[in-house]
Amino acid sequence: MWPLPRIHNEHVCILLTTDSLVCSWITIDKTLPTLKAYQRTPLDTQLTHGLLYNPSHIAHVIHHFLADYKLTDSFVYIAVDSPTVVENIVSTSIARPTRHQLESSELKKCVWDYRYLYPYQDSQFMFYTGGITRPTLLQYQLLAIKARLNLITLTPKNLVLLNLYKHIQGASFRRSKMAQDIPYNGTHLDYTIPLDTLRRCITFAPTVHIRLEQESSHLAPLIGLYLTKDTHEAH
Amino acid sequence: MKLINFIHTLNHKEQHNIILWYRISCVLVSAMVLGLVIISWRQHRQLNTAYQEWHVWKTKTDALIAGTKEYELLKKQEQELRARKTLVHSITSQQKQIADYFTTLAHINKDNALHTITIYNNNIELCAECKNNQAATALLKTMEQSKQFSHVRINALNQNDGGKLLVTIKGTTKA
Repeated sequence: MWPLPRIHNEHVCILLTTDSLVCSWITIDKTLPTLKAYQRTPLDTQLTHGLLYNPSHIAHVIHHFLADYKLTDSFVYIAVDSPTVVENIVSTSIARPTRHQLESSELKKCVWDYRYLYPYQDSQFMFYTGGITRPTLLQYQLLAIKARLNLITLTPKNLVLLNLYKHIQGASFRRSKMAQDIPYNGTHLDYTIPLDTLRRCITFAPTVHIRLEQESSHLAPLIGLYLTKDTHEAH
Repeated sequence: MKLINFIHTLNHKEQHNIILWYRISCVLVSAMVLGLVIISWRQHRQLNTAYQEWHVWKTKTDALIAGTKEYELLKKQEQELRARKTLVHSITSQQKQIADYFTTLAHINKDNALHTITIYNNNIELCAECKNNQAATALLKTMEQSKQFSHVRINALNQNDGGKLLVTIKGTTKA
């Protein structure tokens, strides 16, 4: 609607990893999210070391997906994985640390934030820090402009998975249980959602034919990303 | 768990709200403009009606004003004429009165020779030639008895070269 840009009340979730670009169209049907479209495009060297080496190709793929399903002007959510985002799990003895106390040398170059995860052994507290370098962030913003995306979220994949975990747990969510379910292996959070749990989280439109066993690692972050829509509303 | 969002944009709820606000604003502005147009149109129509009425009344009152002016002019002319008429009447009546005085004096002095008669305002001075004193006294009495003169008196009594008396009588006229 002139002079405002048109908006289409649909939600497109995109996962960008080093080896694939996954686009999905998820809507809410009664109570469960429904996957209405899914497209995974393998990437070779388009995304290397966290930098977009061929943003035109990525923009082309996303634009085609939106055009095919008439999703132009929809709300777009993008989740990115390492090494695009600089992620760390920081343990500290302070329950409410300041940004300065959590800031590493890597994060100083980044736009970053942190979230409290759970209490750890010996009175330690685990925090998640995630950041993205400014040039990379600019690349994604330019990508959104080039592909004419109504981009409203750019977030780390792992945090999206944590969001999905919290959603699955529902009212019984406890941070102490989270520490048991999502162990910290020293470098990253090792969290895999069981297939039957994933099946309970989403339904599939009749037109979508995917092998859940193969796509679960991609689908889970997309569901979590879709659920951030409700997080936005809760804010 | 609150999400980390690297970009700061309006979320879909806020975007919807902006669109809604924009639509409501458009509707309200359109309604206001429409309302203003309707009110202006009605006022314009009333103005037109009032102007037409004013024009009709002006036509009527123009004739009335012209009539009033003519009436005033005629009234003024009538006053002037009346004043002239009064003046003429007074002059005519005055001359007629003087003529009456002359007629009366001529009638009284049919046995005497009149020399001068001077009438100034209400004063009258008569100079006549009488045969003797009795004639002069008779003239005085006749003038006293006349209704046209009063305060009559003999001012001078002289004898001329022919032995006749030149009597001067002064008096006032009765208006």
